[in-house]
Amino acid sequence: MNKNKLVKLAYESRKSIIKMSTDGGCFIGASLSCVDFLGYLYLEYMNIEKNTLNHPNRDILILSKGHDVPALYSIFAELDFIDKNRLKNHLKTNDNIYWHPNFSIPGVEFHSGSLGHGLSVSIGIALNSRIENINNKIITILGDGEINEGSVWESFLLASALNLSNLIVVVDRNKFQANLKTEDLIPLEPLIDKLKAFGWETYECDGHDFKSIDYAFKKLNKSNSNKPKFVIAHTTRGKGLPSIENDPTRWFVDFSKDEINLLLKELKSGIKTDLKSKKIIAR
Amino acid sequence: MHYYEESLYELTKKNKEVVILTAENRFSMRNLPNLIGEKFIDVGIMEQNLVGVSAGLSKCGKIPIMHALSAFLTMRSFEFIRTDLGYPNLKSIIVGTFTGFNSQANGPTHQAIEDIGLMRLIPNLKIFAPSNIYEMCNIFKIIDQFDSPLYLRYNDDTEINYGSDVFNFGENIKIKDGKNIAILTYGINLKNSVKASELLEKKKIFPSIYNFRFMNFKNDKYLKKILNTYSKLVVIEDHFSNGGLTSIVKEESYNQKINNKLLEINLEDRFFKPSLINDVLEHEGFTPKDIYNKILNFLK
Repeated sequence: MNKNKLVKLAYESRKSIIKMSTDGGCFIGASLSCVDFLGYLYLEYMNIEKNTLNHPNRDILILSKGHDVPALYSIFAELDFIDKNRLKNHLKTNDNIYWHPNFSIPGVEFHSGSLGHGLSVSIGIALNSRIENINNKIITILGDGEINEGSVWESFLLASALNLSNLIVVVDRNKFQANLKTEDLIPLEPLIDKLKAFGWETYECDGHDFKSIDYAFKKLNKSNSNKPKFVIAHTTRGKGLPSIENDPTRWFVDFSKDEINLLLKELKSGIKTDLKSKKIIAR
Repeated sequence: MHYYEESLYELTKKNKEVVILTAENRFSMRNLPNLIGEKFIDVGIMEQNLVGVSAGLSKCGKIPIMHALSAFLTMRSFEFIRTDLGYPNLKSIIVGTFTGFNSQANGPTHQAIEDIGLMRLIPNLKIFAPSNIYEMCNIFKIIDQFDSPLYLRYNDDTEINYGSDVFNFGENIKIKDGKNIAILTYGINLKNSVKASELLEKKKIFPSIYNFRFMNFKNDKYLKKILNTYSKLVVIEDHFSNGGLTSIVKEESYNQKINNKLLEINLEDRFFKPSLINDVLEHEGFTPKDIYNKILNFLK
């Protein structure tokens, strides 16, 4: 594992996410919670790079919790899947870079936004790999709030019944859904026990600690079982910006230009910024 | 072996991309699992995942054929069909079974009588509502002719065989040539329309009959021609009055600024009385004799 490269990828991606948080804004909290493990997956774990984006044997990642797409596009820009200048087209009609992923962007395997779809699409892709004898990994990123959706539980049952050992779910367990803590609304715990009972092989890691993430995925790789794999990445919503971390009012943000500059400094210093912009923006 | 199942089997032998999926609705395909192995996928009673999984397969180049009860497939999974198949325009066949009156005595939960209307709302998606099993299964011979999602309104009637010769995708057809008045219908109402026309002929009334099996095609020149040819139209469907063929005809008449006289025979906005098929037809006024009487009354 090249930790320096990962740290740089995550830092540069966070900068891009912050820059997308103005002029209409974005879902910053969820983007900052998943960016570390997402960076790990693309840089260290998955068999995919710029010139294999359409290779039939590539590993496939479906971002089912689509509202954290700024993290995905920022990573794509760092890995040169897309030109970094395209991020400036965020929310502009001359491009397709909006609040949820679109498959016209290189690297995006399937559009998402409506929660509870991505895992069933991934099951279809995993079945195709089985039929075609393709030895690849199909990774789905779920939000913890997304797990409220009934279709996700259908998928948990189905993937297990089909013994889809090449299917990996990573839950961005930032412990928040849009407005509330998950455990205060629809408690998920004990989540790991639930998935075990559903016949999945389970793993946990600190979703911001590359060593911990690497440990979990290396362990997962050694598995010989035919069970689908479930990884809980414990994360913090808004990670990297203390002034918005775990703040339920900063689910969606639309900062002023001045605040963006201050937050970029905060990312470096870790010293809280005095934010004036409107809280609780409904999107 | 059921003819539908046999046709699917032949298709999988010819086209290696075809995958058959069901939400535990195996009544007409009990032998397929053993015949096609991993190309048969039963997801269990979960229609949303049936469609989501199919979208994943189609994204990878497979041609998924989904088979489930239409009421659940088109309503519970509506968003999956719209978002995961319609928006990305993924080639697939959504087979809705027990449609219209064919749900017989199951009751309102099982009545797919808004399926055409719902599916018609989805961009890229085309609709095929055959009048019998031979016509239905011919679609599998022409799957190279389309690249979009297709909703197939399942009908395994073996009493008639209109459309048993291979046809082109999207092609509707006149099955009886008449004058002044045209009946437009599809599915199980086609045969009773033909029977009604035989009664009408004794009264020297000669309606043309159109098998309107394909729907949701933009700029439907065939329909335009029909609207311009006949001053009186009868549209018959086991569907709510909104959204189906009746709506298609009305919308196109408005677009064409044609003010034809129209007799609607449909379910208006009511669920039908659950019973066995012949009793349903009688109760709801869809027998040949009912159609005959309604048309006579319309022409008065």
